[in-house]
Amino acid sequence: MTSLVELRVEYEREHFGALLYDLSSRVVTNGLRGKPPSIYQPTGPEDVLHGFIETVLLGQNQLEYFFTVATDVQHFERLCYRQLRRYLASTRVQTDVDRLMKRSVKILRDDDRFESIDGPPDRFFMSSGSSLPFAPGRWRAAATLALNGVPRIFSEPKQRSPKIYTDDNLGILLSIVLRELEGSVSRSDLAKLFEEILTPWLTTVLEEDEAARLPSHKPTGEEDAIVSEALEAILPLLDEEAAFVFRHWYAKTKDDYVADRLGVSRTTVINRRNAVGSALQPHLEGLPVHLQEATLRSLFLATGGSP
Amino acid sequence: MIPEPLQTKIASAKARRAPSNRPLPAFETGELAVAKSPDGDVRRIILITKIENAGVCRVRLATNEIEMATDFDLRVEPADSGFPARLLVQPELFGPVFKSQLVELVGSVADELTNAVAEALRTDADSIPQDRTGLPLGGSVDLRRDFKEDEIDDLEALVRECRAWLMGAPSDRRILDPKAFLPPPATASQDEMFDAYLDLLDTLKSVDSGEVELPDLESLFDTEAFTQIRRWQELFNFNFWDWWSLHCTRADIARASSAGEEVPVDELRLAALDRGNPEPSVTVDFVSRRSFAGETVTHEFTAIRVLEAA
Repeated sequence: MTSLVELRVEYEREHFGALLYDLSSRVVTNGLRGKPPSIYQPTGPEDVLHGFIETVLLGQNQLEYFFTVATDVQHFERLCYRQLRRYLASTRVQTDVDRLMKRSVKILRDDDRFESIDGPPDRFFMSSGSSLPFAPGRWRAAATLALNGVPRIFSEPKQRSPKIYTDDNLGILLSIVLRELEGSVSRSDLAKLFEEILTPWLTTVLEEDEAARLPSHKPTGEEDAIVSEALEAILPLLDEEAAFVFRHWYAKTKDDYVADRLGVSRTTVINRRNAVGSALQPHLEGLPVHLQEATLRSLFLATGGSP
Repeated sequence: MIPEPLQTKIASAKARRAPSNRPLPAFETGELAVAKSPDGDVRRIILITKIENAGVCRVRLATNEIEMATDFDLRVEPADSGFPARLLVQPELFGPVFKSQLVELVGSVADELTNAVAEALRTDADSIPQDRTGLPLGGSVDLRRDFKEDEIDDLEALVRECRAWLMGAPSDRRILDPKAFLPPPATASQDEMFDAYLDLLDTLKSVDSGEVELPDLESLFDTEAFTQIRRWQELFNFNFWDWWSLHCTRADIARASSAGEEVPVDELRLAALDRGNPEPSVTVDFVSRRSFAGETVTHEFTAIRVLEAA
């Protein structure tokens, strides 16, 4: 097996020679083994190899990073594989964003919660909200709510068109984002949002088969009933402001932002959050942890997705 | 066989590439350096955010996995750091390391960004420019948590020993600062010179008895240090390298070498990085190049000459 010293000597002399090419080829072959062709099609494995070398190893100078931190050739290969995974994810993100955009535009045009202004550029907004372009200061919080609040679904490895969001949750995501932005968004805004959300997720998901991430426990009918019962009891307790505080607490938005939105101090935000927690506690205590989590998730979606 | 179109890209990338000889860190805040764990199993790029006394500094772990950024992490572009790849500095992953663990300087970050990183925990990350961060970490289902947990393992390997030492535990590994070997300035009196010489002998005795370790061979890549050490020889006809070779030869030549062969500095550095290779035992001499500028003589360590191969 080639040693790290030999690779390094070749790197110093040729920058990228036969040894590094062979190693990259091995990493790509092993990296694609067992992966569904959908993650790299329409290109073939050889295109993946050459794209990876050109874009990542040479273009982004990742070789320099590998040679800086690798302790042996096995470590070098592991670093290389992680970057391959990242490269595959970036390729897939574009495909998945395109799919999500098609579904989103359909929802935004068909669902009564939303209205659109036909373009170009097309713009979309909440029926109950403003059609003016959104304030850029809201963007980060809206993306945080979407990223950390709306659950994504893992796909079976052989599935060619992973959904990422159920139709219901995609509608809720759009509602949460537009409600937070209090203005209209363009197609390119939405594409940017999905790209921002999907990049870290897909990069990690592709480390292993998505199937391995599929939940091992599906909620039983009895558990669904418990969650629904808790939700029905909690929802009337939260007025609009309390629901706003809850959503931002759940998604881990910064207190400063919430304080700014409500026009109160950070301490007041903390006090109001504690008050929401106190209101929820009697309905959550006694439930197993996974049902507590399911109840909070449902509460987030229910308060964010309403018209 | 590398296809022709790719060869053109390689040639272009090679032309853009910066020289690879890296100096030792100057041990200053804002430096991006390679830190290695005491056992040598982990090498990572870190940002020095604070210099402590006693050869200890506080560092933040950096990574090339920029997609894993949270709202606490700072993206550092090559134009900002001088390191060719984009990096992500992680303010939440911090700890102390010994100066002797820092083996290469790979770049540096401006004071305002270094301060932003150092202040991130106190300011709830408000000090980090938002356009250089990611989105906040979510709950237990956020897959970036898996990445952060792996990062903590590497960080622990880097900081464990120094942290224990700061809390009063004896360190298993004491490494001399290369400056301990430097002669006094040329303007020093004869008595000062002699005292320094006796101190050096005491230091070398403690090395010989195993109480402390010599610094890594990589220290010798610092031309100024090498020049200063050569001055001992000129002052007292004292062959410092006899001592050094006893302790460093086995560790730093990974490939088989025959007697009389000169192994260039670049290859020594490579060998020192490749911890997976066996370590043949060889005895060596140090080859240096002298240059003159006015009255100043500069020695540059260029190679090791193999005297006796295993």
